[in-house]
Parts: sequence; C-alpha cells; structure tokens
Amino acid sequence: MANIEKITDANFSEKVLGADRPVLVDFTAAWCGPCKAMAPAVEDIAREYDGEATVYLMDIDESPDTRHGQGIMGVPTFMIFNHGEMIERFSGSMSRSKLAAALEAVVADAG
Amino acid sequence: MSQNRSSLLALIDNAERSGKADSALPFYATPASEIAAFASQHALDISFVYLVMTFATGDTAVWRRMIEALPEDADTRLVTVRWISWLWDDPEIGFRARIQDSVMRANGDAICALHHRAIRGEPVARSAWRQARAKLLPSGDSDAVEAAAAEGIAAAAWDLDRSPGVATDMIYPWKAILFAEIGRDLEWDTSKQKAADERRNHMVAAARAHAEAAVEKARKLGELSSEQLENVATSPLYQNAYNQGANDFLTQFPSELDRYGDRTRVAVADLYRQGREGLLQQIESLSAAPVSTAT
Repeated sequence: MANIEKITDANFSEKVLGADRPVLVDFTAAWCGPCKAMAPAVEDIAREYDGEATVYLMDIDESPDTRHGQGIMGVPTFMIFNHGEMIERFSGSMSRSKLAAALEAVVADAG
Repeated sequence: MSQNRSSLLALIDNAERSGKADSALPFYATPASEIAAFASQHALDISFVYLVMTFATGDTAVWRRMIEALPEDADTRLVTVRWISWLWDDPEIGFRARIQDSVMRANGDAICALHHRAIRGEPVARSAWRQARAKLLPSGDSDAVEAAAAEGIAAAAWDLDRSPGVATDMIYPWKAILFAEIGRDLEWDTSKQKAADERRNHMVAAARAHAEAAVEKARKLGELSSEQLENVATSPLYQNAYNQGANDFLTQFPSELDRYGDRTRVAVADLYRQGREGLLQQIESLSAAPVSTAT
C-alpha cells in the first residue's frame, strides 16, 4: 500500500492522538490474509477522503506498545480517531462502504 | 480461441496439475497490484477477476468453468455490472426483496443505474457515488435484515475503475442478511449466543484434551520424531485427534444451541454456490443475447 503512511509506536501519539483532523488506523500484520484482502478497500478509502481525513497503517507486531495500549486482540482492526479521541472501532473484514460510512460520519462532525 | 483465453486456460491446467492454485491464480490474499497485472495480462476486467477468484476459493475447476464460458472478446466489466444487478434484483436471492421501504428500494435501484451509466461511458462523478451511499444509511428503525440489505447494495456504490473490488464487498452484508434471517427464525438472542459460546469453549477444551492425550500416548510409544514434536499442533495426529474429540463431545452432549452455528455454516456454503452460479449466468448471458446496458 504505497500511498498509505505506515506508523509505529514512535509516532502514534503525534500522528494519531495529536492529529487535528479525523484519522483511520488500519491495524494489520504481515501474516494476516484478511488484512491483505482488505488492503485495496483501505486504499480506496484513503483516496476517497484525501484532504478530509488521514489513513494510517500500523503493523501490530512492529508496534507492541500501541497494540497493548489500544487493546488490539486481532487483525484487521480499524479505529477512527478525532482530535485524539477514539470514536469507532471495528474488527474483522467488512465492506469499504461500511468503513467509509463510519469515517464520513466523523468527518461530517469534524467539519 | 483467443490467445489470452488459451494462455489463461493453460495456466489453469498447470495450477491443476501442480495442485498449487494459489501460487498460479489470484486469491483473496493476492496483492491488488498483482491482481491488476493478472487482469491486464489476460485481457480481463479487474472487477471480474475479483469476482472469479472470490467464488473459485482456490478451486481450479471453477476458474476453468468461468473462463471456458466466456464468449470471445467478452466485456467482462459488463459481467460484473450484471452480477451486481442480479444480486440486487433476483426475486429469490436478491437484496431488494428484503427491503420494505420503497424509497430505500429506489435508492438501491439508483446504484445499479449508476453502474449501467458508467459502463455506457457516461461520466459519473465521485460525489454521485458518495451521495448514493449516503442515501442507503439505515435509519434507526430498520430491522437487521433490511439494514444489511441496504448495506449490501451500498457496498457496490463505488466507481469500478477506481475500486474494482466492490462487487465482492457485497458478500459481507449478504452473509449478515442470511445470519439475521436465521437468527429471526430461531428467535436467537444474546443469552442464547452467550450459552452457545460457552458450549463452544467446553467443546474446544474437550477436543484439546483429547488431542493432547493422543500426542502424549504417541510420544511415550516413541511414535513422534523430534521434528514432529516441535510442530505437534499442526501434525495430522493432533488435528485428527482434535476433530475426533470435538465430534465425540457433540455426539455425547447434543444441544439445540448448535442449531444457529449449523445453519449459518450451511448458509455460507449456499451463498458461495449461489454467487458462483449467478456469476456463471451473467457470463452466459453475454452470448445468449445482444449486449445491453439498459437498466
């Protein structure tokens, strides 16, 4: 997913909790097949909401502190934040429309 | 037969012979860029490749059936659009029949119309797709089946050029529809689900105990190599004993609580069979009648 920035424990606070616009984080792992299947959907959402929200990827194996801190029990997990507050959380595969609707609701509130 | 189709059928033959379909043909974990390259190489629309690989589930016979049924120079994007319309409209399977609200039905119809406009080459703005999705957000008083049916058609409301995988997204809400209908039939509620989860935990514990006892017995008899002992949980001995333990538990303690799980498993298998058959129908429709993109 070349067009989505990957974040780690080192910059999660700055990029997500300190962001001034809605953020969708896709918690993923290299070994996770469903995460790979969801990857095109996450890319589509990143393109669709470019300029309105930011989408990041986080590999849970490379970022154990955030994994524990956010209580990630499985992947894929998607979390939507606004001004540092976690607004929505989903686990497992889903349609891009469902994920987009949740993000759009936060974007609308933020606007 | 076109060169593209011959080379693809040869690839399917090789995959069949080698028994390694997933390394030769795209599957759910194949990166999007490789799916796009595969589609381009074989002159197929990417959205069509997503559908075939989803319903083939690694079965080369399904790939062969789909590709052999394609007419020469078929417009495979049209197959995808017709499949979306079929899953929306079909009187038995379709999502449309699950929605009572006439406005919501019309909003679903509008999404199919947008796809047909796009395939005729008419421009459809990104905002039109977005508005179409927004109109299908369930209201608070929608029941679970109706809400999932609306989500099902909303799942397809994206430009296929930019988002070729959206037709397969319809499968998630399709499952949700079927599960909600089964739940309604069985009057399934959270307390029954909690009890079913507890029963499953007991079954897993019994199956693990059975498998571990089988491994211990084999170890004492010296029947396991050191390599097998390192990966014992994935060994056939462990897996077979685990399955036997689970079956013994289910036979010894039959319960009505298994009905929901049993029915949803059957429903998912039916979903994939129906989706496959529906896709084949759309492929065959290309040669059965002149190409029409009218809605």
